[in-house]
Amino acid sequence: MAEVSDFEAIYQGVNKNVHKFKINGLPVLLDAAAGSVHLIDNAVWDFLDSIENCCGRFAYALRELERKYSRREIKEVLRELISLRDLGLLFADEPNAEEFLEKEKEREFMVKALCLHAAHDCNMTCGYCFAAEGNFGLKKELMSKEVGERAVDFLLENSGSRRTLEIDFFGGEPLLNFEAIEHITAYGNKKAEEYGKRINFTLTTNCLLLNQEVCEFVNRNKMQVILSLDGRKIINDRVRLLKDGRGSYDVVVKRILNFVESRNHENYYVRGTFTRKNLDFSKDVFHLFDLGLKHVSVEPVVAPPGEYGFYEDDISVLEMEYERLAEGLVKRMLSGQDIDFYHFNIDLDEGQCLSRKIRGCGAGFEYFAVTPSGDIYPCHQFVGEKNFLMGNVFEGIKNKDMMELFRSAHIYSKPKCRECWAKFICSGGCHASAYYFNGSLFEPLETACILQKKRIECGIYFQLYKRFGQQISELMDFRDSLEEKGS
Amino acid sequence: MKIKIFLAPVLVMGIFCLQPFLCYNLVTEVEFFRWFKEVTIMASHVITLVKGVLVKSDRSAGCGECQTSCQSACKTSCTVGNQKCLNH
Repeated sequence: MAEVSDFEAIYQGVNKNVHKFKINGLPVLLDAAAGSVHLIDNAVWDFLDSIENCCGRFAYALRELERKYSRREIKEVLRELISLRDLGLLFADEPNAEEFLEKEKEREFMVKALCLHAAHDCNMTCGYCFAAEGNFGLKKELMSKEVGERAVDFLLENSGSRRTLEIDFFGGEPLLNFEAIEHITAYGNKKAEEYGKRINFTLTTNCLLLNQEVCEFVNRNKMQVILSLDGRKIINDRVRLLKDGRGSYDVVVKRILNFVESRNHENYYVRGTFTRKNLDFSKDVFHLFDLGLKHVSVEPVVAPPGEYGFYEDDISVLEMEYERLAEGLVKRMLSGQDIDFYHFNIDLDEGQCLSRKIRGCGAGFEYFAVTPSGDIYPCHQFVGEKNFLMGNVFEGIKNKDMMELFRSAHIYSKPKCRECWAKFICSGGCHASAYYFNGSLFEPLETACILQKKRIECGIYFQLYKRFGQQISELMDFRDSLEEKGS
Repeated sequence: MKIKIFLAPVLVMGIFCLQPFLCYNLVTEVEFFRWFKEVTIMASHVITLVKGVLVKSDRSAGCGECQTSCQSACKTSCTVGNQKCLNH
């Protein structure tokens, strides 16, 4: 016999962490607090809809449901939802974050990753570049070997008990300073060994200087490499231009294909940006896979509304485009193609620990960007913002309050996040977007939230097909036939 | 043969007792199971595909060995949903 408290639990759940959605007709119910994923039928969908929108008037909601379903069916739905709740698979309580956050305040800061700006200069002139064509509004310069060494020391000295550390060579175009990269990598490996730690290196490049020598170097050092390319030639060449104004597609594609072949198609991502010039960006993702690439990441541009940045009206178009992308990628995957689209890679089984789930980005307290002159900023997107200058690699972090500020920006300190169903998967979004668009680290960018939620839905849809394959479609067909028989 | 004869009434009784708990007849339920062996919980209206672990997790403190989101394939849209825990 259902109690009012059962309805209360369902009402609280559907208005908090439990979220139902349909992607290409597949009805999915997610409890982001429990981490559980379910397929549901129309009766459950309508039942949850009624409870969600009844404002606590459960009797009214049930009367509404009785117009469409028999009492027997409604009872069945209720019984199943309650038994799933009793098993901890639905309407789960949120983990006790308060206790965790209290304890965390006593923990010392440990630096985990650095984004080294090896070069504040670039050999391309991309229209949408947030780095102002490489120099972030600062003077053009290359990082010296001494600054690089000192950055490695800063990382190791402040890494506490962490064993796995990261350095990303970034720019501008970091390969303009290849000699320093070689030196810093060798120095980093040597020093990490002395500390009994390991540094994983990443290189983000526009590929123009990705020659044989560089390929051998990054492969030898097992670097993860992020290769920039936006997709179709016509799209890429409209924005990603060489210094002489020509498009970069032809030369870049050739270099990328040679490179991924040289490392057996492993440990890389081809990373593209889409803008309001290609709202049909799924075609660009498909194009990248058509080139024979296996690991692709394409994401929205960071820019105010305008030539490149999105207007509010564009967002619903982009949501539909993500659905088209998910459907297309599932088809390709089911036909046997190797598909790794970064933003659909949601770990359904274990996921991250609570510490990561409440604060996805470590910018400003465990992750920093270092400029060629050694200045430290919370992340690469804050470089050049004088208010966010935190110190330098020679004297360390001077602004400890800012570290505390960034550490305190988590899903429970952001009012919008606290009530959002996606918070344990998205983990609060990008600090830089929040600051640049809303002037506060604690107010996430709304349009980014909408797209993030859509990516999560599509990611779950993709992962379900990845795990269960064609059985999902067969199951849904079977379920439909049962519903017909039942009615 | 004798055992089969003995079991027959038990089976019939079993089906009879289970009927109220099954939305559809036993044959379709069996078929349902056969079609979808990996599904963890079978029910009439909800099928649980992934059980999840967060509320049971005792890994709240975090070892910090995982990859920093922005260091991987994205540099502008941070998320941890697609980051694997290195302890698993």
